[in-house]
Amino acid sequence: FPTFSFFFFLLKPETAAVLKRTVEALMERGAVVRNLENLGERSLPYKISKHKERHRRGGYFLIDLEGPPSIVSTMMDHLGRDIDVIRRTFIKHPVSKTEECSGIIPVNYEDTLIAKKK
Amino acid sequence: QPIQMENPYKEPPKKCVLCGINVDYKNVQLLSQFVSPHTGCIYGRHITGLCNKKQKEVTKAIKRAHVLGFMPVMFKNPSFLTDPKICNVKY
Repeated sequence: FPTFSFFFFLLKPETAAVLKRTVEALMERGAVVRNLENLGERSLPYKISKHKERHRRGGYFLIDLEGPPSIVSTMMDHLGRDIDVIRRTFIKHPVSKTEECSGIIPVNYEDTLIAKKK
Repeated sequence: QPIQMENPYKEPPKKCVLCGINVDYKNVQLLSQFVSPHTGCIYGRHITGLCNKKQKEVTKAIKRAHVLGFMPVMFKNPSFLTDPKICNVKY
């Protein structure tokens, strides 16, 4: 089962109920919820208008999932209908492998120029 | 007779600023350092001085942060204006 990290953010009031709803919906489709992180409640960088309302503050939440890829479309649909969810995305779990960065290799410009002259 | 060998005085390859640092769309402060404070446009490779991979990663992360509502698009977040200068921009 591939791992996703599912991110969505929503309004401040009724946070617990909305979270519960979404997590239950996810479990229904057969996904394993690993972790739920609250990235805090802050003012959005720009005003977002969604569901006939202009929002300025929101609570950001991040859910780590493991599940079949067929969940994605159904969940996006389901959350699109939820008024309390402002924005939703599924992101593949970032596999961080930055220990092989070898540094800037100096590009030999002479070779490229001389080769083109032919 | 001169012996053929590798250059013993070779310097280690130059590393860019983000070499070894994991770039994430969530740490807005790091990403904002590569964005113009006046317009919010992403600086090019000749200004940031990053290697290919890292520049691509940073651009992708910035675009993602824009869409997901982490980072403002048209300007730089005012709380990050006093960050140390990484790119060689001339204002």
